[in-house]
Formats: sequence, structure tokens, C-alpha cells
Amino acid sequence: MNEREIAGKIVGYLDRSAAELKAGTLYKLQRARVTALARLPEPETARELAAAGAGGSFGSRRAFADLRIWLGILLLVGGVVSYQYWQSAQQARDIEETDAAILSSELPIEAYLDRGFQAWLKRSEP
Amino acid sequence: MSAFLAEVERRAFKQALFAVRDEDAALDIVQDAMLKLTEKYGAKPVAELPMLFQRILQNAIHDHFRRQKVRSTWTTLLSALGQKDDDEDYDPLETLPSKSESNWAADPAGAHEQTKIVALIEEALTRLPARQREAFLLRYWEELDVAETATAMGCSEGSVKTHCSRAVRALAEMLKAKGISL
Repeated sequence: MNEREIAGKIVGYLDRSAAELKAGTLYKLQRARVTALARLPEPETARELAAAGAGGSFGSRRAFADLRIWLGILLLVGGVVSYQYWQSAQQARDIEETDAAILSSELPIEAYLDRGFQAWLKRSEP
Repeated sequence: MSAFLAEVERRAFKQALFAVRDEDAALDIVQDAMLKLTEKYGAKPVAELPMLFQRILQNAIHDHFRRQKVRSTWTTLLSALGQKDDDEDYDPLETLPSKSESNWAADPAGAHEQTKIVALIEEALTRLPARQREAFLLRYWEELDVAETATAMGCSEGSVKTHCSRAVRALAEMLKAKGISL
């Protein structure tokens, strides 16, 4: 028999021995395990509890809360972008209307640049 | 984490027991190792837990011996002053074997023989040099590979192979001397 085979046989006996531990020892080991698990850092403990079925909806509730926050942020950003777009479109329309009014007027464009004409307009305003 | 601890706790207890030869001390060592694992490495992936736990367990065993060395003067003095009555804390329930999946007790003569072999193997293990025992148990019982065993023991891979080889040879010889062939 080689080293691995001998070791395998010895380990087989050791496994049987470990399976035959006294009930008192097993109880103490179980208590030690429970104490150790209670010291897990918070998120780990929650995960262990979730895995054990004690807090099954914890993860989904948290994910839902995160989703609502991101949805709110997305709506806010969308609103700001829409408002900016609407405002710039409105300004372009105003400029277009002014340009159209000037171009379609019977007065030549040079008249609007003439200071005397502007003074006459102010004077003739009611 | 819970499943991992449940899986290793019996072997961890036996490992500690082979080293310190005292059930209460072995239980304390296992509990310390479990606490350190959950407190410091609770967030680690499950695949890393076996090696980390073995490292912590071996350190806990070494710490036990260090503390014992410091206290040895006092314990010797106290034990010499008064012999404690061991029967005081005797609980017959604690001596009952647990229900086991194994059915090797179906044949009483065979079961007796098996129990005898187990006792001899365990005794032989306690007689091994500490490093050889550690290497053997980590490599063959805990099924760590050579590199993992070396990391857990804080030595080279070559040393692990040497320790394992010597441990197996020594165990086989000790059992053979008792008339047991594996």
C-alpha cells in the first residue's frame, strides 16, 4: 500500500470516530456554532437569516426601495431636460416670428437702423 | 457560513483534541476559531473558508500551548495542593454516543474491533510530533492540497510533503506494532 492508500484507510476510521461523538460534545459544538454565527457582521447576519427563511423578503424590499429612488431621480432629470428643450424651442419661435414680421413689413430694414426713425416712432407712440 | 461550520465542527474538535488531549480545552479552541472566523472573515467567499478556518484553528491550538506554558507553574502548584474529585461534574448523559448515520455497530464483534482500531489510531495520532500530525490531518482529513496545507501551517510545500510522508509511515508502524494491519 502506498502513502495515500494508508492515509485513506486511517481517515476512514477517523470519520467514523467523528460521527460517533458524544451527545454532550455535539450539543456544546452546536452552541459554539450558534454563538459564532450571532457575531457575524450585520449584512452577513441578515443574509444568513434570509437563507434560513427568517427574513425572506428583506432583500427584495431593499431592492424595491432602491428602484423607487432611482426612478425618482430619472423622472427629475427627464423633467429638467424637457423644460430646457421647450424653452429653447419657444425662444426660436419668437425670433422666427420677429424676423418674419420685419421681412414682411413694407418698411425697408435700413429704416429700423435709422436713429431719426426710432425717435419719430417713440414720439408718435400714444 | 452556518452549513460550513456544521460540516467542519466535529473534525475541528477531534483535531484540537488530538493536539491538546483535553475535551474542554478542545471545545474552547474550536469555539474561539469559529468566533474569529465569523467576526473577521464573515464576508469572505465560501470557497476560502476551509483554508482560513484551518489557519485560525491551528493558531488557536498554538495559542493554547503558549498560554499553557505560561500558566504551567501555577497549574502544577494548584493540582498538587488539592486533588479534585472528578466524579463531581460527571454527567452520564454526556457519555452517551450520538445517533450516527453509520451502521458499523450492527455486528457487535466487528464494532468492538473497529472501536479498538479507532482508539489505537487516535492514540497514535496524539503521539505523533505536532507538525506531522497537523500536516497529516490537514492534507488527508481536511483534504486541503499541498499548497493550502503549507499556507495553513506557515511552512513550505516541501515541508508539508515530508511531514505527511513521515506521519503516514509512523502511524503505519505504530499500528503494526499493535498487531493492526490496515
